[in-house]
Amino acid sequence: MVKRQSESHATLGRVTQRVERSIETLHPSYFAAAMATGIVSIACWRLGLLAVADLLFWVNIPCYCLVWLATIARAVFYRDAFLRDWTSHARGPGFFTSVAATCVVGLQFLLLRDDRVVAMALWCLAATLWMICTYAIFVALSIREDKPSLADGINGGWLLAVVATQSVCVLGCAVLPHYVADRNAVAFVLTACWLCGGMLYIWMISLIFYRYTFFRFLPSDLMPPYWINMGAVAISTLAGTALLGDLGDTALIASIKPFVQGFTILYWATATWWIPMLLVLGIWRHFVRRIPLTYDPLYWGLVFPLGMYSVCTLRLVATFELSFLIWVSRGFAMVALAAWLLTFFGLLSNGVYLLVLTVRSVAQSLQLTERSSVRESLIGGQTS
Amino acid sequence: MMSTHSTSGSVGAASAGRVPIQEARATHADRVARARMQQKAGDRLILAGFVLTVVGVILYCVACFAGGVDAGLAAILFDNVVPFARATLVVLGIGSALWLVGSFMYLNGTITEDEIAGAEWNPAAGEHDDER
Repeated sequence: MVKRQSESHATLGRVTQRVERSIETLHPSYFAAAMATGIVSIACWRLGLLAVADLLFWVNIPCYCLVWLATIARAVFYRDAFLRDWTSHARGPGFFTSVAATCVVGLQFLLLRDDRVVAMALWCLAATLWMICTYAIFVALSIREDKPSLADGINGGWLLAVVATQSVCVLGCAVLPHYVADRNAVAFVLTACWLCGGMLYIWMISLIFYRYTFFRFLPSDLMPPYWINMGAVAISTLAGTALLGDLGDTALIASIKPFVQGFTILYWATATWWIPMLLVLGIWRHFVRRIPLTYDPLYWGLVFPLGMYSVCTLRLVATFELSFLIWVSRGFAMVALAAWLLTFFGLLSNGVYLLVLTVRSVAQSLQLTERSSVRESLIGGQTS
Repeated sequence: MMSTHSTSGSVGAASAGRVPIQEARATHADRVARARMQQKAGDRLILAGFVLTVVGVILYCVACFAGGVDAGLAAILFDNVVPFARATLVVLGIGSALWLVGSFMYLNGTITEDEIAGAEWNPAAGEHDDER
């Protein structure tokens, strides 16, 4: 009896322990789940899959709020671990996902709900977060005394800084012209943002490519965020098309139009160049070197570029009238949706684990109560 | 199971509340085998669910793109405005359900096996609990 009771308590203890441990070790880049869900929803909306777009919108809002809650809980209850991440070369850049996720959710509100107020509020939040992340993370990494080697320190996750910068530009192009009277000023600020993102990409991808080709490269080094190599240029393409589409009539953009057009196509071409390379490396990792495909929150960093590539290609089709590319966009939307679903199942399996533990604990408690009542009735019968 | 009964019968001196060692081993082996079977079945269901879901997603997208209609979920489900889309949603639903059931079975089997392994690793503690 005591054993059963202790088993039941132990199971409940395991549930609590698991939740606490999940919060303590929460990866800063968990916002990538909201980024990925949001961009797949936007891809579906733009391609006319309204039902899926709506469904993903309603999945994404609680997901975004939950990640914020968990992050705040971590900052309050596990402050040391939280602060340590800001100075970590491996985990620090993950905080940039909070910026990109905020912008993607803002874009969802604007496109799917036509809610400019929420979108504007989220843009303000994203711009503030971008400031904090950019100047806190890069300063913290610069002044740190013990630094890892290039091979250990750099990974595809660093390009999240580019994604965050470009996402501020994309949402800004959609909402700022409705709130700021001076469209030329808006165009100037957002073009500067777009160019900053491009500059960061050129710096970082050089280091990443150098690390690829001149340092040891084990299958375990090729983590899912390497897909951000492609995603960062895909979102740069989207930002370019947004500048051309939403602010193309301003004097500034009109004067540099061929430059913006050229760079937009350059970014798209770079994103396309990365896809076969990343696919082959993925096949080498999982099928040749047999690294098992198990759920990791970092896989959200793989879903986002797929969805982003679909959206940016679609905007490219509209901007440059390249209708033959429409099926590329549709194909990538399908792949992104399938990848999202598989990653979501992986995330859900954590919840199912907790559910199984809870059900077992409840079942054990019920069994316990049933036994004790039978025992009591037997004792009652004996005494009478 | 039959042998377990005969064993427990032969060890008549065993006091009430105590489980004879051979019987306990047989029960453990039986529970481990059942847990492993559950894991295997769960694994297969998860795989089938994955495949069905991905197939459902692709078919749904193709049906909607070919239909060229911007339709909401309710319109697809109740009015069938996009041909075949309703069927593909059913495939998607079945795939997801199979995955969910499979995950439940697999995890339940894994936890059971872990618990048995834990109890076997420290049998003294289990016997002590039984005595209480």
